[in-house]
Amino acid sequence: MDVLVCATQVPLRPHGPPSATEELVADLVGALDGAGHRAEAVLVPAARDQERLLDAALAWRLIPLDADLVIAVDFPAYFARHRRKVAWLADHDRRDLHAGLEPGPDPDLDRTWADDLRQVVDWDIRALSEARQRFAVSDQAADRVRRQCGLSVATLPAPPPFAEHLRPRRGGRGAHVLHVARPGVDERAGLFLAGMAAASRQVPGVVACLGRSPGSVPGDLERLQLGRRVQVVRSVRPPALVDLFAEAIAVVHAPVGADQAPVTLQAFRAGVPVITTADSGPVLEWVEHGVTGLVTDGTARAVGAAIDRLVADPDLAGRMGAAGRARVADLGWERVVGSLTAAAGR
Amino acid sequence: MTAVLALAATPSTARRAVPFLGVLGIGTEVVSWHRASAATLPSPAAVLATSTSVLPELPAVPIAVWVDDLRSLRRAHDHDVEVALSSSPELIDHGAVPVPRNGVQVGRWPVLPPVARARHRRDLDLPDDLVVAIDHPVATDDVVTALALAAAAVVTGPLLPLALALGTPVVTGPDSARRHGIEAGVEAEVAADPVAADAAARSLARYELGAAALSRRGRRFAEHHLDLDRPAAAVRQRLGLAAVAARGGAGRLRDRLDELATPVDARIRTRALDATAALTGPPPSHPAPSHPAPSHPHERPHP
Repeated sequence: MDVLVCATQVPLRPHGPPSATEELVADLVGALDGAGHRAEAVLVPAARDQERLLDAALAWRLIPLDADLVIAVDFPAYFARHRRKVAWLADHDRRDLHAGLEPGPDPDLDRTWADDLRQVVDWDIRALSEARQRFAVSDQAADRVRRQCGLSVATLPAPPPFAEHLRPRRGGRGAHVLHVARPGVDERAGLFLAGMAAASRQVPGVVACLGRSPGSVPGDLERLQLGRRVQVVRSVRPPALVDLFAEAIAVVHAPVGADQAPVTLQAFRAGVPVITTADSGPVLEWVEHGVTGLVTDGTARAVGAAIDRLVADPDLAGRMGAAGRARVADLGWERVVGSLTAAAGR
Repeated sequence: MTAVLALAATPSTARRAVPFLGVLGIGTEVVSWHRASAATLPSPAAVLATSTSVLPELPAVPIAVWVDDLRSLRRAHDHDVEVALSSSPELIDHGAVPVPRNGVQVGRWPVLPPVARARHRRDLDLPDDLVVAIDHPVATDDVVTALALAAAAVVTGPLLPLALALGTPVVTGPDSARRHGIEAGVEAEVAADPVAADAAARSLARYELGAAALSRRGRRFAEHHLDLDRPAAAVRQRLGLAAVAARGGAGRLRDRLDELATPVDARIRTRALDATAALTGPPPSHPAPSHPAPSHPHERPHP
């Protein structure tokens, strides 16, 4: 069937890797094509400031979408008007709204935000109600829509980027502890570095930056005297990133405010355990303490102790890595495409 | 010129017209039929009758009339009235336009989902789990404010439709639920006595997921079963009182805003009008600038 994947465009973005949503859209279009459908992405820019928040939503209502199925992956793309619309809510789709619950910097705008918030939620409810079925990429994202809109949402995780290339290493203990910094997401590189400094074992570390390195990293490296032990790799892409995962003893992944955990899923695909924190939202949907990784209290000392534990016990790290790989064994695009296209037939 | 809508009522049936006439009469001049028939007043464009017993004395203009049973529905047909009105499912099956007995003009009230209520309560330093009990007969400003801000409300009186329209998570009594066709646990929680109702409302105020679902379904129930705007629009159309609908792009834009139940004073309506004014309005009397100025500080001027 003819499928249009609707999402928000970010025009004139500085050079860098695609965002998580852009990667997800490209992968979904590819998977739909691979499954024998004719698929294409439809992208419309949207403003996130309070005054223009609903402009693009209204624009989506008027865009002719002549296809058998429309899959909308974020706000405001799910305002697309189509009799066979399925919503699959990916990264960041509701975070701005959530942030709007906190007082803003402009008192005048803040006074009117309660009214705007009411309007946004009411429109959200109506647009999402139109969907044949609603999915979200994580329990956290699904739960937020349930709490704010009172709508049912099923969880349908997205396979991580280049999942098919990630394989466990053939043997050996691993060479380093890995941290992956995605642009646009606070991955807490500072906590990783502080944990490395707190660890008693002098294991090498790698900060793999998909774009530019976080601004605080050079200062942290100098302050913590990690310049010789931790390597920063900028603008890393496959196959170098695949190799970095394969050679990792552990991956430290503790994002703030993210709606999905692609780095954790990539680590699991590579058979590597994940060290995270108790406030890392969607990561905790995958990392089970002592089984597929270690959940810490978020202090540098606890992260350092977790690093020490996995470095000191390669068998434990291996068992956790294998358990992680088993945990994501059925995570594939066939399942996503099957769920989304089946929902359209309801 | 404003169309004149006459109300022809009998003393025993006049009450039933009050809420509906308040909506149907918007944009018209409403007069009583007795006064309209006086020589000094303009002829009515249409008549709203509260009983078929007044039909013989009415002029040959489009008429909407309340019917109570199949016999009165036949009488209405015999008089060739344009519209029969009823709240009885049986008569609706026979072609009467449904007018809810305890209706509310839903579009007049903005829906306030729990997440927006929480924000308002925070702004006003009100308790996060604010619960109110409402059995007032009239929607005073105080009552509407309480219903709009509450995390949950016990509502047992005639303001139940308003509470549902506002998206208030509601606990009501079994009689009120039955009267409005509310299913327990779907559009509202139902409790048999005040103590149980209070406990249910307090529990609801703390249960974010349940309150959000109840708020959404309550509003939808009000829109589909308690709204007076919908029958009023249909009756207005059939009585010839409706304005000609806008066509083309402007009409479609309005349709899209209406289908999302956008309030008339919503910011997005103003922005939509601003964005299309140059395309739909009269030509400017002075030469227009070659490029419109940006309407928002983030928007760059055209090169």
